[in-house]
Amino acid sequence: MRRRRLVIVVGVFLVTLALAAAASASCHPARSALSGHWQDGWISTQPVGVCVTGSSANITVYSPYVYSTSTSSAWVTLQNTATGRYGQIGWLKDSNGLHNFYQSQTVGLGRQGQYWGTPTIGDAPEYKVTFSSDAFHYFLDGVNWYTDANTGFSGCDSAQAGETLNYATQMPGASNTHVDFMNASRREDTGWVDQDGSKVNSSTADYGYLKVSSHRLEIWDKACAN
Amino acid sequence: MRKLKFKTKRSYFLALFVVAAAAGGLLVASTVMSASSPTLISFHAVSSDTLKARGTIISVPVDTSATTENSAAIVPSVAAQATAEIAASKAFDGAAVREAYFAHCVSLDVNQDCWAVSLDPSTFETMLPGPLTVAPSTSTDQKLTYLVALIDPGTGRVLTALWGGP
Repeated sequence: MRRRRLVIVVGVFLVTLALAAAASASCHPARSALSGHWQDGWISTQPVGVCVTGSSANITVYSPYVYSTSTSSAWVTLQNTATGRYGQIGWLKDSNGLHNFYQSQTVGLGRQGQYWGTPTIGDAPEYKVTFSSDAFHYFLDGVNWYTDANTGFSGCDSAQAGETLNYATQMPGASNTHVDFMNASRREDTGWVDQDGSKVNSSTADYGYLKVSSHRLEIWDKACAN
Repeated sequence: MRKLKFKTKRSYFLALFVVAAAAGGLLVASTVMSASSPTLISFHAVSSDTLKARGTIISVPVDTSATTENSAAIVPSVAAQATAEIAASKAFDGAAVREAYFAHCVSLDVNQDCWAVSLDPSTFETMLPGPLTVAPSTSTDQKLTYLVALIDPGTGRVLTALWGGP
């Protein structure tokens, strides 16, 4: 009887360990190295004359495999799709581990960014960028960590996606552990509304995309189970 | 030299009080100024003014017995600097080190003594994400001119890193 209990306890412990390992697992997708911006996400493009001034989502933190001199990230962005100017915040993994990061590319201050802290794998912090009075405001879980002022930015689209900088790097998520963009929303003149974006996927053969609802998107790397 | 003469004891003490108050005021002012104006450190790649405008203050440490993540006393020696430079370079895929200073570092969630290391950003700039690309755009990513990593002197961990370009 005592032996059976011991076996059960050890079994539960091992299963817990395995689940924890699976949730944080990095998986080598076994693809050849090829530099570029590989992306998987959605964008809410506005009609002429309408501008979005905020993008927000609770993004699952995942630890993807990262190929040498590359990164894997998941983020929300306010962008001018025509000019390539943007303000962006999310999490990023490089050879040095996981970080929160913000980044701007603007007319006024050029390109600048910073990473800080270590997000917890499995958590889903709220990343949010807003634009007002010519400034990007970067929020993590409601805290305004940084304001990028005098940007000269004019742009109207809200984008939310995963991205790798090499084809050999794992896109955030795996078949059994999707990376979620929950409570995904954009800010219009009338207030926050569901992101409800259109699909953008660099390789549908490699990257999974599931629009669960108008405010929830899931992405993953098809080459990886966990 | 003429000697100052006072008509009354009262005027003597009044003059003494004025001089003492002025000296005291100067002392307080200089103390406050030195406390609120630390000596900022600039890098060749990025000025202290630019960093300050971004909310990052890298200054000469007042107390060189560093307060670090593991509370170990750190002596900013040449060997310690070399170790910090190696840690910074390794963290950024072998980026070349340009300069390094032992400093007091204030930036986002960092407020401690650290090694502030300036690195060549040319590889790092190719590793950064960008906007979502719906269709080919006319824009190109702007070049980075600086990458500064703040390294904990006790653990060698990157506390934060900031980058920028024109």
